[in-house]
Amino acid sequence: MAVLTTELVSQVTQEIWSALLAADSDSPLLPGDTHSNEVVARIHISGEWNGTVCLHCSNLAARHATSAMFGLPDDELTAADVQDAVGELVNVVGGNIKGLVEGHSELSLPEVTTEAPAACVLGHLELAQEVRFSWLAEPVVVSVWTEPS
Amino acid sequence: MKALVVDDSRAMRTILSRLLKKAGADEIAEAADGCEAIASLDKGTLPDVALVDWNMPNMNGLELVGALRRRPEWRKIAILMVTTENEQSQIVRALAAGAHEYLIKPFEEASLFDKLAILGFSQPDDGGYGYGSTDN
Repeated sequence: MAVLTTELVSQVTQEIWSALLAADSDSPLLPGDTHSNEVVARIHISGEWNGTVCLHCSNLAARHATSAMFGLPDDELTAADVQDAVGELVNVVGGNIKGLVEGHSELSLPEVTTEAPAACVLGHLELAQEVRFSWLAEPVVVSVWTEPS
Repeated sequence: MKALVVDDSRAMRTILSRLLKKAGADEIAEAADGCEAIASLDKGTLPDVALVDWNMPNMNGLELVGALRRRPEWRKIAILMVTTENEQSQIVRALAAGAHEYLIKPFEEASLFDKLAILGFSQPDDGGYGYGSTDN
């Protein structure tokens, strides 16, 4: 792996939260310590570097994100809206992480699981990075999995 | 300005449509992939600008750009790729295929407006629209 540090994963995620979810001074994405697999979205990177990027969060965090992206109040959101919004978030996180690794690679389409417990089942891959955040007091986690070296 | 937003995420289409309205777009169509985009174009009203994602099912953005450039009546549509694909080689491929501008997700609102301005679509307060807006 190239220079895929915790700091870079954290920075990428912060930028995405700021740009797509207006996570500013009123609702910053802060360092966190808890984990949730209520919603798990994953996207695969294949090519010169192979791995998977996962976005894990609570149902409430997923709904906050969906509400921000669609510009709708929580009571107007559907399960399909949540799947779509979280899928797009992991797509953008994955795409930006793909840009941090060496060589040409391709991004898959995102997959989202919302039926708890949605463990991140990734076969033979090893956890390379995990960054935990707290957003609006809810857990948001980005994990990066890669082939054993 | 008439716009077509092509992205497989409804959330992203919603964000882009919201920003396009803010930029002064008066007509916005949406499509979930390249096939839907072509079906929309075949129905009639041509957009002045198309915002095109890269990674989509059925027909991806690069294939759509190629299709838009092959049809003479669609060549005047300005194409802005809006995608997470950020490898330099991919950007070169998209521009070589016929995209006019390229914006990497995530983007700031101002960056989208800047790209639209480069394509000739300034906001109404800035004096009106340009590229492709008079012939369709």
